[in-house]
Amino acid sequence: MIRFRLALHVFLLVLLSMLVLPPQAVYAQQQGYGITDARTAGGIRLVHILLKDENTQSIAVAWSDRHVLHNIPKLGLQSLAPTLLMTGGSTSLDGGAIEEDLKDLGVQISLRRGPSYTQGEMIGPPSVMNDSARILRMVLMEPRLPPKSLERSKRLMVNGVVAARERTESIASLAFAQLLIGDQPLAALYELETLSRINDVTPADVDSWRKAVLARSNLRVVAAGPMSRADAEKLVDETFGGLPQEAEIKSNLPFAPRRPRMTVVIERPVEQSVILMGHPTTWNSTGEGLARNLAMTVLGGGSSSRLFVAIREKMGAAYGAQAGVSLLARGQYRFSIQSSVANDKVVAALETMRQELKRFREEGVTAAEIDPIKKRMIAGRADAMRKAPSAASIIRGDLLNDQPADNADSFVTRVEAVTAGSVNELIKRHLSDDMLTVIVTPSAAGLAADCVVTSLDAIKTCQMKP
Amino acid sequence: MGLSRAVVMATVSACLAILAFVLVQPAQALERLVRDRVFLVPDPKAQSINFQMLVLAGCADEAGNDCKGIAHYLEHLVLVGRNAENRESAMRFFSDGNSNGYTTSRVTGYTHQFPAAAPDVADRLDRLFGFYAARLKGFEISPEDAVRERNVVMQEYNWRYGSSPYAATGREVSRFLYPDHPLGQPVIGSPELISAFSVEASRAFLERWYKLSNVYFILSGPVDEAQLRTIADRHLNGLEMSPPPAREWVRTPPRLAQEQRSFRHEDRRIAETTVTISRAIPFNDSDRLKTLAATLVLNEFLRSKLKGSPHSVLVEQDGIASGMRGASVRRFMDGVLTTSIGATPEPEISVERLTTAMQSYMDQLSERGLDEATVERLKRRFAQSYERSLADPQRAPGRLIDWLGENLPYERLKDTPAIVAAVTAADINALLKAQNTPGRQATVVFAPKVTQ
Repeated sequence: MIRFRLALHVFLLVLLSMLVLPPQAVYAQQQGYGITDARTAGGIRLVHILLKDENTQSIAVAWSDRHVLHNIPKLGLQSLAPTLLMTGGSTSLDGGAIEEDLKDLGVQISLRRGPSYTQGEMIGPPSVMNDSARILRMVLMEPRLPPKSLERSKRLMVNGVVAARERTESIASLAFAQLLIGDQPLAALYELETLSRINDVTPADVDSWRKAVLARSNLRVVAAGPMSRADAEKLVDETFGGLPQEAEIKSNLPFAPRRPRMTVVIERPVEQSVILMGHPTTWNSTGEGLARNLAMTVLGGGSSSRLFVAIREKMGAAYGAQAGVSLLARGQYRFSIQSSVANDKVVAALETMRQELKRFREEGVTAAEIDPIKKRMIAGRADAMRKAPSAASIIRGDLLNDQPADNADSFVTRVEAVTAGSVNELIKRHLSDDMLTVIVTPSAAGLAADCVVTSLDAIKTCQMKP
Repeated sequence: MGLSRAVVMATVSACLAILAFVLVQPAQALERLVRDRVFLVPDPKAQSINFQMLVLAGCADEAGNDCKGIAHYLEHLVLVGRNAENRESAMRFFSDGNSNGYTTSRVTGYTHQFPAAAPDVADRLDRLFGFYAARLKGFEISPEDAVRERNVVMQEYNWRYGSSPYAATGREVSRFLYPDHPLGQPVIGSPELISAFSVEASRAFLERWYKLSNVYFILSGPVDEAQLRTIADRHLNGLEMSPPPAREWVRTPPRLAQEQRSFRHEDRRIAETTVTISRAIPFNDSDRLKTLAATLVLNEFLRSKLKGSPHSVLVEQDGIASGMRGASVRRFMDGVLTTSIGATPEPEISVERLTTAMQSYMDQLSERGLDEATVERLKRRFAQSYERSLADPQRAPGRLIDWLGENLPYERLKDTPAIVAAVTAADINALLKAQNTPGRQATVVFAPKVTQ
């Protein structure tokens, strides 16, 4: 009897303590998100996270896909193929009817390219997931691929490419990429002038791509929402089980970025000058990713960043300034800082950006700078993990970066483990003074340029400094 | 003294019931009016707390019924000024948070977000209310900061509009459709107007419109309601509650004398040719909410690919357009209805032919109207989507802010599903017929500039 009462007292105390704790404390006590990672009966890798409070189910998918990189004359396929699949409809239902059926269900289905994969989502109420899965299956297995839709998409893409070559920020970005990549095969991604790579794509090319890429072996699926793992497995097998087992997996393209240490000015009659500077880096987004995010936020992420304060608040020269690291190719990244500044302040702004970067490299970040950002990151991640679409997207990102499926469980621990010292070590290791600077501005006067051109086409004439 | 088994079992049962309720209860989505002008969207599981002060005044409320950009400049000054309540720029109100502002023709908003796990949540809310309560009386800005911020606004203008191939023509079109009316003028101003911005004009705007009776505070997150009420009362009680002046632009709709004009702009930065027909026409209704609900359903049709929609006729059936670039009907303000339809022509189709086809489509649509079955289908979509959004506390603040920003009566927000459910095909078809009223019409062509 005494033992019974003691057990009840303990039980009651535990219950009461759970009830009186504030909600965020209860949340923090959770031991992970309960993410599971296993193959379905149909052999498809499925990562599952149960979000009981959500009224939306998200199925996020990704197929490894380097197919078009090995077919440069048809490079436009990487955007055109997923677009045509989604807009063209199936053999039994045209694209417009499918779109309207999905709206009736309250479901969104999308498919798009990534750097080395094709990814997409199916998002909607759990009660209609089976109906929407049937539609997605039709689109993937029996696509209509209407030539007229393809022609429209091609025209839109060609027009977009031509127009992008006239916009200030994209001129700077394209020139920067071309100078880093040179004439290596990967440069095709940035050499947009070859419009035949878009115009030559045919419906047969799209169908070949579909059969080669959309398979089960290279497919990763993340299910996030109120659906149980068992139901999600069934849904995934019903949707994707009819795909061929094996994809035609292509190899990575060889790539070694160049490190041109030079200042290139593209003279254009622009309203506002763009300054873009940076260099290739191997500062990765996985093991070093959290430190990288913290470093870039301190340097140029938001209204507390050093570049924002220096260029906007002290000089009044710009509306904003950004710093970031983005993917060039597997294992190779591009560090850059950028600002659109007043034409009459471009010389001073360039000097200020260089000084801030020098200080950043030499002094690094402080605990006072990164600690608040860490708190913001933790809160932001927790909020994102409550929503099915963002939780699925985060987990899929981990999978695509070859991280464990339950990587999200250790997020807080990993963020808290990052110190100013560890960030500064990585800054010293990965950032250098060997900067490539591209400036688009009306006049190169005062900018000590190594190369001055007037168009993107002439960038190749700029010789690298030894 | 020991517990009797019955009491123990009852207590255990009660605890289990409460625990079960806590675990399965969907997050509360509906806002609570904590006190006059202060709303809370409770979201116990959120990890961030969001705060917004919404001012029911934007550039259309500037002096002389003339939007010059002062409301937007004031937003910048409030956020960068070093005031007694917060010596740091309000852009950095909390080092671990985010802060921002926005200005439209009709409203100005100030937003802040910070982690809910912060140990000093009450203190932070106290500081925010203290800061904004003081802003309802005035603001501080040094002459140097004011000049510098003017330059920042100029760069914002260049970044957003100066380099846009559409901006200059878009501005001309707005001025034509809504002549001599502030809603037809750009919120940010123009380079000439920005150069002439003054702190005095900003102060005058603040004095006129930044009143407790003309602002709302909207919070969301795991915030204790009673504590919030205490904090809000502490700072807002005693503030002047005199009503704001009547909004001049609301009482004076633009003069919509019948006129048609064509606009054309070619630019290398434009990717594809688009043709848009926009109309501003006189329109009177007796029930604003009913009109809003009807436009909501109608716009879902105009954006769709359903049979009879612009896409199904102009793109699929007639092959005139390669894609639609938007179609909508909007109750622009009291007395004004705006319609717009845009498309990209197929390569072999001239701009003129597409223009005629779009005009003809809209005429025929207003003649034929929508059938009851289509309207019911569109209403079902809205009802499903709205019901799901009601269970989502992260979407509730946006819905509330949009509603309040339109100066709609808060007590009617809850009626939205019923109002939409009551819309009939006849309501929508009356709206479609109304667009035949003579008014102002702009035909706008944007085209790529082709060099030989």
